[in-house]
Amino acid sequence: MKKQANFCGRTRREFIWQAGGGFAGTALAGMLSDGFLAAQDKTADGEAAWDNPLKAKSPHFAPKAKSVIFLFMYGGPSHIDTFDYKPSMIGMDNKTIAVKTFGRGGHKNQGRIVEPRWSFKQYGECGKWVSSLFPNVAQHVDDIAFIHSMTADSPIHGSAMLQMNSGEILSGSPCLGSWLNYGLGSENENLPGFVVMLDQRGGPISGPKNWSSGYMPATYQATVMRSQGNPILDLSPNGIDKVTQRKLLDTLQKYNREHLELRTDNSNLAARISSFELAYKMQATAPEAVDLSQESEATKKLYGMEHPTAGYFGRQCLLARRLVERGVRFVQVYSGGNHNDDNWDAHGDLKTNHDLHALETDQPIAGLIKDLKQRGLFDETLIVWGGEFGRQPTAEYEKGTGRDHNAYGFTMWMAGGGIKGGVSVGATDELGSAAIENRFHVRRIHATILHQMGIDCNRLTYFFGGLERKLVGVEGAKPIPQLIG
Amino acid sequence: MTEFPIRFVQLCFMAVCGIASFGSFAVIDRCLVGQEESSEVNLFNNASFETLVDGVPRGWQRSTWSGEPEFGVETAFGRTGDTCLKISSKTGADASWSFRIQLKRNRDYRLSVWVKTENVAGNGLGALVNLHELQMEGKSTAIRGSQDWTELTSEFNSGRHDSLLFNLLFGGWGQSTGTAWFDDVQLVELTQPVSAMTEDEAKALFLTRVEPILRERCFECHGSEEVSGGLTLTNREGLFAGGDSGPAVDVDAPRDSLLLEAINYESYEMPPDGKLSSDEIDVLTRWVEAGAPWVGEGFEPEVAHEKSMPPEVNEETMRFWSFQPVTRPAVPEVNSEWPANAIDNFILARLEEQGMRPNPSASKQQLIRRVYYDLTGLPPTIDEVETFVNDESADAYEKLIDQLLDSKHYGEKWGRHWLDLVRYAESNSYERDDTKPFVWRYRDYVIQSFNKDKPYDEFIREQLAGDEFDEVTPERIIATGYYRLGIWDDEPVDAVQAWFDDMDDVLATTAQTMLGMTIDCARCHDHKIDPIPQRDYYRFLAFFRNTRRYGVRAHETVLDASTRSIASPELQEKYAAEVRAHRDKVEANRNALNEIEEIVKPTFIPVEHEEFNHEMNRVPLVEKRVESNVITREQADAYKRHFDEMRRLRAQRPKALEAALCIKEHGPTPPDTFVMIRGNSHVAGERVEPGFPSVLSPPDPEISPPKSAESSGRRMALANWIASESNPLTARVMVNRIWQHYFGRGIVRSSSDFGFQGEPPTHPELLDWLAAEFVDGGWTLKRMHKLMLMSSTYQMSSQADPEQLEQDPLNDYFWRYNMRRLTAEEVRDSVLAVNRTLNRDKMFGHSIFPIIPAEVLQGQSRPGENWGKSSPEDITRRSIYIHIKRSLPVPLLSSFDVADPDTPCPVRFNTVQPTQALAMLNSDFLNEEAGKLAADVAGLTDDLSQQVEIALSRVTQRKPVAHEIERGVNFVDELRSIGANELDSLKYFCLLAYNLNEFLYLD
Repeated sequence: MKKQANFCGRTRREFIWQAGGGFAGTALAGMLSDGFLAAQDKTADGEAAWDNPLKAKSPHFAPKAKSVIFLFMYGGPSHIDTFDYKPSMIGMDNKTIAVKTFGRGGHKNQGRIVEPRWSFKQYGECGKWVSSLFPNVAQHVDDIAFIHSMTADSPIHGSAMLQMNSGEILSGSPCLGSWLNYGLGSENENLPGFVVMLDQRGGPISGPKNWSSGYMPATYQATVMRSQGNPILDLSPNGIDKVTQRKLLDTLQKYNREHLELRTDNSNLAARISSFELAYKMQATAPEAVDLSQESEATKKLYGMEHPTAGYFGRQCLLARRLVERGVRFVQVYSGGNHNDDNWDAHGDLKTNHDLHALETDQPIAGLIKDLKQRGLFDETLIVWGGEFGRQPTAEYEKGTGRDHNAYGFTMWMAGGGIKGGVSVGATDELGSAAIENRFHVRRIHATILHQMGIDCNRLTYFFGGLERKLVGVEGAKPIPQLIG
Repeated sequence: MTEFPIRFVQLCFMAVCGIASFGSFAVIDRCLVGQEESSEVNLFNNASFETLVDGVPRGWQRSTWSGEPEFGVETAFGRTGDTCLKISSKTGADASWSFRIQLKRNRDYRLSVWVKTENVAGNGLGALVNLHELQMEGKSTAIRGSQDWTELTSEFNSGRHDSLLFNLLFGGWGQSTGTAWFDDVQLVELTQPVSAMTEDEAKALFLTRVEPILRERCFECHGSEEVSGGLTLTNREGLFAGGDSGPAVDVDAPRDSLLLEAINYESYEMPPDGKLSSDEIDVLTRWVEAGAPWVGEGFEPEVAHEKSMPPEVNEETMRFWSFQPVTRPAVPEVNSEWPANAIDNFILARLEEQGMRPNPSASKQQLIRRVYYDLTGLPPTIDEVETFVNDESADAYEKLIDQLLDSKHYGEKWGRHWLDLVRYAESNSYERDDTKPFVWRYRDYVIQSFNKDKPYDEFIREQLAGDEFDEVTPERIIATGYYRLGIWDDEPVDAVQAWFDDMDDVLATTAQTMLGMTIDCARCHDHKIDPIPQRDYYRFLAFFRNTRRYGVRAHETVLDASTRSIASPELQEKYAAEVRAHRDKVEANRNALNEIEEIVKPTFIPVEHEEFNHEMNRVPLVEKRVESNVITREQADAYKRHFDEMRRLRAQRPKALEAALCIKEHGPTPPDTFVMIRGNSHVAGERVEPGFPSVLSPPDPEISPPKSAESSGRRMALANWIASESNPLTARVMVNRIWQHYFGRGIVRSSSDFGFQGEPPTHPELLDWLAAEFVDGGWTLKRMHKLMLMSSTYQMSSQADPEQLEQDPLNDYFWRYNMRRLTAEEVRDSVLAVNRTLNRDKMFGHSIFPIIPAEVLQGQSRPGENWGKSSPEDITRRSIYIHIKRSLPVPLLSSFDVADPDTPCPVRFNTVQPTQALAMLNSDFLNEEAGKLAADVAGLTDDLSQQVEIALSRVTQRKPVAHEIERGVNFVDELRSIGANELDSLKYFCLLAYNLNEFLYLD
């Protein structure tokens, strides 16, 4: 594989997007490859159709997965307390050892061990060790591939969140979901292609930067969807009843069509006329997508929706399934919001923090896997689990069990979407302080996700600022071979 | 037996000692300390400070970092011998006895010293040792309080340093009080020399161990198919020739070889997918140290790597069109009445060549709407339209242009174009995304500069080097806020790299915006497309090399590094006196309070101490002591008086002076600039001097430090070159931008890239003519505006002509005016203008906060943080005054393609998407404004058809025709017939009016 074929813009693109003025809107939308002039075709009634920038596009090769559900464990769950079993740490509690760590407290060369606070058991045919934090997820280890040797460039929330979501620690680049929608479009034009659901305690650090389309047009940015109330901003008519709104639109369109008559060559005007119809349809389809009354009690129970602690995340996971069922390309669900113990950022009391967040998510995630399987959606839906980094083996402070951030080594897992089950790749050292075997940078996760979706991450480029940009950076990346079934 | 490096030995010993082998770290109470010491050599000769020269040990210096330390050399107090060093402070100090130690690079060292302390307290760490350049990395633990002689140690790796300042530190990251003594310093190198292998041994090692490791772990990227970083490891020549970063093996100093650094993860981290095992690292280390002998020929690459060379700076590439000096082309002769000025001659000549013709003129109604928006970003009122339409005089149009160029709103429109280019935002991004102090003054500076018609060359000089003028004015300081507009990570993973990232951002913005060059593409390697060698990137960077980083972490550090007062010297002096007076009063009051508190506090029961922490309890607690005769009535009254006075003083601090966000340098002498190999901020290559891109055959920069001696003068040299008449790019790039905003696209479509991969100009002669005109006219923008606006080309209709549309669908030849949609700001401003609630008069100052729906704020980690609430008067101000918070775009603006503020934006997107329709139909904002429009219209007349007529004319700025009014009346009547009340039904019509394409698009 020649991974540097497009290095720094060797392939020259057309610059129609820079033309501004009359054509740019639809031109950039079709992103050139899909035939710019084709978009100018007239439909039978003489109007140009709205050229949906998110219309489905062909992948580079046959995809394994159609959709991604990224379960973002914001704050950074501790790998050695969840899925990265470290038996040699047992009995080491409070021992001071020399170990290089780097977290928000800076670089340290030694620290006091905090032994994992949960017991581990083996599960499944693969015999995977999982801690008592995730007894339900543990039932599915034979469907999961664990990557224990993740590394990231930053152990600081702000930049690490940006990297997990956009590949770069510098602010301003499009997010994974934007790239997927740019590369593949959406299969349901009545729903957004990139949906983010937030924790009830607030958004993550940097908020909307985590789902921004950066230097790409706003078409590719995420839509924040709420699992209760009005699902999308400005979706419901503002106190206007349906009949009135329909009349308003019909009359509006008469004016707009008349205006168009002398300007039929301007496809943007026609596109805008169509966009009102699409918006009108979204008003109906989006609430339907989030209407859980259509789900059976058994299904709701499966997701833990009746559980007082797990119910909120459960509802979001069920919603995520309904969205991918309807063709939404990328759904990201945040576990944890706000700051400190409102998310996985266990600087103080590790036990209380992780007990809470694991309880909130364990049953819902297990339910999601099971439900996708029973509906035959598991193979085409890629689930990704992980935070922006992991946590250190040692205590952050003189007293207590809190762990600082750790980007030298942490665990993520993937399931479904053609990912091999029952697999564990890579390893950290005996303490989980750093990845030592088969280290995989965040870029490799991105490359793997794109690969399962039928995209070669080294060929998916977007021209900006003199460069052919890629999600995986100029150096390119390869998918993780051990995970690909 | 071959000796292993110590690090490796430690690991083996650990296993032997029965401690779980923990890979790369060692358990602290090592079992082998005893063995180690015998072979260690203390690199300090005068370790116990017994030999003094002029009263101090040779080479030791007193360093005061802050506060008031007392340094001493005690001659009868040593831990061993007689002498030791001492630092003490009564009032607090951060100070050290320092010694510059000479080191080898990339070695492990252990530094130790014995310390004794007495009453060490304060907010500093205490008594400790550290290495100045390594900061936190190389510091020992600190001792506080009173402690007898204790040994402190610090282990560190010298990395790229060959000398470090070793501090016996008192204070540290704060100030300490008390006394500390230091004695018996020891510095040992932890790595030991390895005895050489025989050649046969080395070759055997190669065959049995080395070659398999290389094959297994290195060849994939440095072998047959790939040659990452230009390094091939398949033969010995490749090893010694090396890659982009230099030879992999250093013949003269094998132990310093890059290969060893890389496999130890010290500079590069190779192999990237996982460190070699310690055994493998040891094998490669021994082999390299033995001179890296090779057996056999090496392994030929199976596939020759196709190398595509970046273009060189040579005669051919220097001939590229945009690198040529601007020469004024002759204006083409055309035989037509159509041209109004020379622009039209150029346009018409090309059209005629193509057998095409210019469109007829736009109607006066279309024209006035076009000019109003293009010059002020606002719609004309219907009265203004009518006055113009009815003005039959020959110069009606010219009068209109002059009037609008004089409008104060011109700067608000055109300033915004500039703000897009310099990625203007008012917060820093990242976790805190804090608001930049005084940043809005830069925005105001830009608006005022446009309104004043400041010559563009002056505008550039002020922003790049306003502080380096002979006469530094507040305005010029504010202008240098230019350097502080970008993203800033206050908690960077790698502080060195962060500085380079920040400056790369400045360099990219400067080169793209002012020169139309993507010099930033040459940060890691020679530019792949343009003839810009990597060396040129760093020569350009050298102009900014002396810049202080935006801040260190806390807001105070930003104030220190990036702001300065813009008050007059007199005011500054007055302010300083006020601050002193205020401080004295506070102190006097505090003392009076203390006096009484010292009497009452000993009588507190425990819970009262806790209560006393809360201010509101203090007076009552003191009062209570009168009854119990601890204090007198008078004392209690005095306490209350001083207490109240204290509150008053706190509320009446001297008012801070006006300040500006600005650049600051480290002083007159900049540090060296190096080419950073492969863009790695830690791997310095060749040293370079400041210089302009060589492909432009530029003069040498003329650098002279400014009078202030606060900076190097380099930026002024850069500014002078960019803003010079002979610069081939500056004028071309700017006139092209003006053209772009009037005609929908630049003559060069890629308006920030005039390089090889940019678009060639569709009208090169016109571009050069405009550039010459710009410079000859003294770089004034208003003159250029008028020239373009007065052209017949600008006044053409946008109407399609089927024949010409077919021939030139992209309007490459400018046969018509390109329709455009309103920009995001124009959409919001027009909504407010149309219902007459826009507050046009209040300009400048602190930014405003339109209401962002709670559900959007919920996406912030602290919902609502740093998003204020504006008064009703402010909330209706123009959009250019909206606070730009990087992590919280305003939804309406963002859906209408406002510029993303993290990167320079030369051309805005122009998308059509359902979220826009949802916002325009359903958002609170639009519904409220539609309600206001309805109320306004209803207040003018009771007649429905007149109401409809007024509403339509407000949004379209023309008189609607009969059937348009009738359609609206029917709509309202229909709603009323199904039960809607009068105002609601009219409001829905107004909402409809706001959604007309005619409202949003200009003909």
